[in-house]
Amino acid sequence: MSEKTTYSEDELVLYLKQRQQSAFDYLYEHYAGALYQMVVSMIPDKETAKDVLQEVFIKIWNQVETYDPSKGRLFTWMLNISRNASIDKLRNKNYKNQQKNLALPEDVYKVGGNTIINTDQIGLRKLVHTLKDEWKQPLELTYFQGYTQEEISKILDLPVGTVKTRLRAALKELRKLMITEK
Amino acid sequence: MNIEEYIESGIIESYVLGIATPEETASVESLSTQYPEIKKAIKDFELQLEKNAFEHAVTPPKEIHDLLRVQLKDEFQQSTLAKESKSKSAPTPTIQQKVPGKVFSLWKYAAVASIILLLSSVALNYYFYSNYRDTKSNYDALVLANNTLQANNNLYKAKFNSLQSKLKMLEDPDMRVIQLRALPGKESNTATVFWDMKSSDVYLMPTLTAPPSGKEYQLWAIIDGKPVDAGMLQNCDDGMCKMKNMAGVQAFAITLENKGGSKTPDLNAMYLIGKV
Repeated sequence: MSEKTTYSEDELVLYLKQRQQSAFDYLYEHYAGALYQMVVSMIPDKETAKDVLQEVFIKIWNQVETYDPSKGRLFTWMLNISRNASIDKLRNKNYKNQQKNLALPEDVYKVGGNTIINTDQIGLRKLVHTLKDEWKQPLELTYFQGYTQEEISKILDLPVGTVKTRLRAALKELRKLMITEK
Repeated sequence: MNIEEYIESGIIESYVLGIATPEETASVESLSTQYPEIKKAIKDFELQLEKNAFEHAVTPPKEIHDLLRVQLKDEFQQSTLAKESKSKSAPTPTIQQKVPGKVFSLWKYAAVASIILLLSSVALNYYFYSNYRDTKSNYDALVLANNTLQANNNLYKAKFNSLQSKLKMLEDPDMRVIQLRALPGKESNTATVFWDMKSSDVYLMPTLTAPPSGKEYQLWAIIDGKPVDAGMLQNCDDGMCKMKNMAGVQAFAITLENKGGSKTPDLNAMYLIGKV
């Protein structure tokens, strides 16, 4: 690829809405790596992760009309699409093991598939896993597994208020780690 | 509400990461429109998250891009214009197909492009034409103004020349200047006679009340005690009237006479008189 053009987010969104292939190619070239790390940090099986990334780009392409720049950056929107697509895949695939997954989530990912990725060693998840347990658990369950605060309160057997407090504290700490991380 | 505390509470991170409850999301979205600090905090964390994601980027297998292009090939806009203007974007072999439908599509875009060009040309023509019209009317107005100025200029030049020659005349040592004095009841009137002793030319500079209709002022020269008609006050230019030539005059007088003048003056209607 000799794609040298750079687009601002506004331009990119505009050209995507105009269905231009050059915009899609740019989107892929520019963002695939940053989105794929989110997918592989959640899905240990490499083949499944590839499928999910493909789905993510199709979703971005199909839903770009619904992207609202006043609510946040394009990347933020795409990162959440990637995360949600990964959660959907996990729930779909491991539906029967779900209850078991809740207790020891990261262990479950190491089961099955030829290429197994050590998911807790990648990106944001790696940082989350350096937090102390009482912060790590609610954040892991909500961000990487898509549980609501009420559901987490049942899983961890804690009042919803405590879950919320711990979640907020975890996020503040996570942000600090992101800034200091090398 | 303390905005700083709100920003520090972790709710911003929660919102950006997409794990905020619906109530929290509504709160952040509504407050961010009121407080630029909140908007900035959101953007800051978004950029932080983006930076983090790019730093940990994992390059996906190349075939995914190719698969996606094949999957989306019917959705891409086949606009040659857009491609040329933006970049030499590399079309993949899988996309480039010589399907008749695509040829039709190319013609269609060529037609659209021609129409756009035609419309732009019409718009430009109209724009230039109206510019031309404005300029033309400005030009016409300037030409008119210039002509008016030139005419005025000629007029002033002529006036100046005539005044200058009159001024010269006054400086002539042979020129006698005679102040005519108003008679009782006619004090608002004055006049001065300029009499060239050499050429016998007589000029009059009057400041007289306007004559009633059917009446005219007449200048008389008193020669050897008898009044001689020196002309009507009608041949005047720039306040200076050229009168009949006279010689051997002892006095000048002005009377109001019937239009066309009289042979002998109406002494009851004398306004001014002055001795030489």
